[in-house]
Amino acid sequence: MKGNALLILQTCALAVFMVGILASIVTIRQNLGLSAKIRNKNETLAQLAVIKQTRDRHQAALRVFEGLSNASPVSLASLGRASATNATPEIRERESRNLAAGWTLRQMEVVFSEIDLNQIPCFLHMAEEARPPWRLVECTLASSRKADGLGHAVLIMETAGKTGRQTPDNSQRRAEKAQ
Amino acid sequence: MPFRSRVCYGVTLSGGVAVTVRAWRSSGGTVRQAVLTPGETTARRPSVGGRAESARSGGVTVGCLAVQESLTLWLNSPLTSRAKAEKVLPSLLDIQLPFPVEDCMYRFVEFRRTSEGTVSALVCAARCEAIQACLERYQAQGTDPMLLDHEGLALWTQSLVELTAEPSQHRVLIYLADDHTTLVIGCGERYGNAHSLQMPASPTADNDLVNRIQRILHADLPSGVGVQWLFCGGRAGETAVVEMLHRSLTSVWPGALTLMKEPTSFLARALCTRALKRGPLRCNLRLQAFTHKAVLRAADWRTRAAAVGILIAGILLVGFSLTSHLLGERRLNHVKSQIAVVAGELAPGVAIPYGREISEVQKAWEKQAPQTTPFLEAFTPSLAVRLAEVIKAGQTSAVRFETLNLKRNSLILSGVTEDWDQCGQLEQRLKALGYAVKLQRQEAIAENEVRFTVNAEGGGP
Repeated sequence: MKGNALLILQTCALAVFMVGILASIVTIRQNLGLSAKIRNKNETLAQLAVIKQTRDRHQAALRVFEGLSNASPVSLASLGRASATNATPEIRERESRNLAAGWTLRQMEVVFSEIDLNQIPCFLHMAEEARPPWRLVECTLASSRKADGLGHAVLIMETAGKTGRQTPDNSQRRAEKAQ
Repeated sequence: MPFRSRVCYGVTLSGGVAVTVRAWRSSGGTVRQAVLTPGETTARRPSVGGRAESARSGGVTVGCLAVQESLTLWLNSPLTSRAKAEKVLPSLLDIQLPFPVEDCMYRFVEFRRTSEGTVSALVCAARCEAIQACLERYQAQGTDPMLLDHEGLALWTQSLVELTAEPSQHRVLIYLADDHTTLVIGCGERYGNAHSLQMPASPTADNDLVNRIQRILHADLPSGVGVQWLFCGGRAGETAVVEMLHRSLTSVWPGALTLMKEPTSFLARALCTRALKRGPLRCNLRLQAFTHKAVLRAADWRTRAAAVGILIAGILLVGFSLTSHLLGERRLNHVKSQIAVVAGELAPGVAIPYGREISEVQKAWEKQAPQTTPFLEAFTPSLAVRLAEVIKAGQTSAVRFETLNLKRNSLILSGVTEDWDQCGQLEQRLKALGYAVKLQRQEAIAENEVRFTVNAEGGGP
């Protein structure tokens, strides 16, 4: 009877141990596949995190713009008159497209003819300091043969604005009124 | 032995008198011993009817089988493999024994390799009747030894413990008990053989003992070789006997005499040391039907413990496997849900098929990005600053620009300079701004000035 109990105990122990070994082998094999899946998913998550980080930066920038008290960009013509003496820029709209949250991107071409080229940085500085700011996208300068320091400047400026629409005509009108 | 006790009682019987030594092993492995008086023996030593469980807690009792009731024998097998030799050695023993091998208990206590490479084994054997008689003698003294050691092997190993053997030096240990004399012969640390003789009433008066000892030694030792003579046992304190024997024997085999310390308890100490510490030539002749109940119980307990251990190990393995799998699944699901949350946030309203999160989100982002990119670009370094830097580079290099076209990542310049090398200065300054510059100069033909054009790329923030 005692011998039987010991035999049963040993048999059970061996059976459970074998099950344990089998379970371990199966689990190791399954976990190898599982860890590969987790690794792939982590890579996916990391790539998504990079996209999310980029989007968050975009959103943060948008929030700064949303926080501006005045969402309407200042007139480039008035800026031109204020910064450059004896020069009235020709302003043409090159491109306009809608952005997020009701904002509009406007790209304007500002042409100064026979201007003292040393006045251009002042104009650009004032444009960039305005809120919302104007940004210089492209700049073409050509010196004049008439006099040293004079030249022709074509500036492509862009800004994001919310209300109103600055057209070449009304900006010119506003510039004339100011004069 | 299925257990290792910390306390041991070594009991020897000599002329019907029991000598008991109590020994205990410290946690550091040091064995300490004390001879028990008859009163202490009764009080402390586990008795015949004593609880067998005391084997673990109360100590192990060890006895020994006298050399005259047993034998030790070196058997030489013709085989070089120990495993194979172990199979044939019982048959070789059977041939050597004057009685059937089934009637005795035997144990191979040491294996050595001969100079030919074959396996040689030392066997210790005793007839079942002798073992039974020995146990009855012990029981008559009120004790039931759990282990039954061999007297000759115990004497030899204890002599090595108490007096270090010199290599290749013959050693003869003479154990002078009240009723018998035991000779143990060896060389270096190698046990040779053991012999037993009846002790006469007056050894000094009777040359028969010396003659018998010499006869035995002549068989094992060549005449004239140096021998280390060791004496111990109850009668080793009789100086006249010891000197007489040493004088007689050194005439043939010269060698110094060493009287072991506390010679009376030498054998009992040997039994304790062997029971408490691992070492060579360990032997227990209480085998099979003679196995002590406590040893059987301990072996049974050990078997159960092993089975329970395996059972627990199996349960733990199953548990760990399941837990590990569940944790893995949980982690995968967690990552999946995180992906779903982030993808849903980046591509709201888009049904994203499983596994295509990246492509769908990228597609959605490519649609969204142009609507917000200008806001971010407003915070990038101004192109006006770069324009000022380019103009300053031109002024410093003393060149005059005629046309200048600046974009975010490109710069086209044309102009004139008075010196060929000044263009080079401008090129270096533009490179310092981060541009990859292509400079073209034209030799002045009609005028003194050098015309140049610059096509530069990069440099943009």
